[in-house]
Amino acid sequence: MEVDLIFKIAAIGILVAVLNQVLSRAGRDEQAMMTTLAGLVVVLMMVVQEIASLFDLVKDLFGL
Amino acid sequence: MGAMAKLAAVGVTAVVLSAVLRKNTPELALLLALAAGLWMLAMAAEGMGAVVALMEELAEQAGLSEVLLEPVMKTVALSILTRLTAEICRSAGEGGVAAFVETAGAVLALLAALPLVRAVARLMGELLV
Repeated sequence: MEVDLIFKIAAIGILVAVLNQVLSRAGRDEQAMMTTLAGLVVVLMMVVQEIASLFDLVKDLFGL
Repeated sequence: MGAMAKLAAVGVTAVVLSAVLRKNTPELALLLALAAGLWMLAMAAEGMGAVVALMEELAEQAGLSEVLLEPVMKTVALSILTRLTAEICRSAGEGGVAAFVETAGAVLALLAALPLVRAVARLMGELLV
């Protein structure tokens, strides 16, 4: 696991925020919401893998 | 020492980035905090492993069996997961879910410690008879 993950999430967040602003200013609110949703799903996929590895780690550590 | 400096740097960076994200995309700010926390825990895992090994060594020296040590380990693992989950829920503003997580965690920890309690009760019974 790398620190890059944190920067990646921050970058995705900023990108999504900018896209959201641009799209909602252009009057495309549905697409703005879809962009937010897509960003959320992408980041969620990345974090869920880390959560799974955390659970494995705790299991290994305490021999459960 | 180096590890702690790294942890501090990552923590502060994550908080700053999270503050930037919070304005427009609060859900991503939460996920960022979660990712940073997971990374820190992964960093601390080595040290935790050493502590667990020491505990096992001490138990062996004291003549305690693995059966007695296992509920303790289980309870510690459960409490770590419960606390982290509850705090994440709370920082997302969901205090209600956090309370549920804590209650369920307490029940599961008690369940894990049941064999120990039963062993103590049996020991007391044998002493008294």
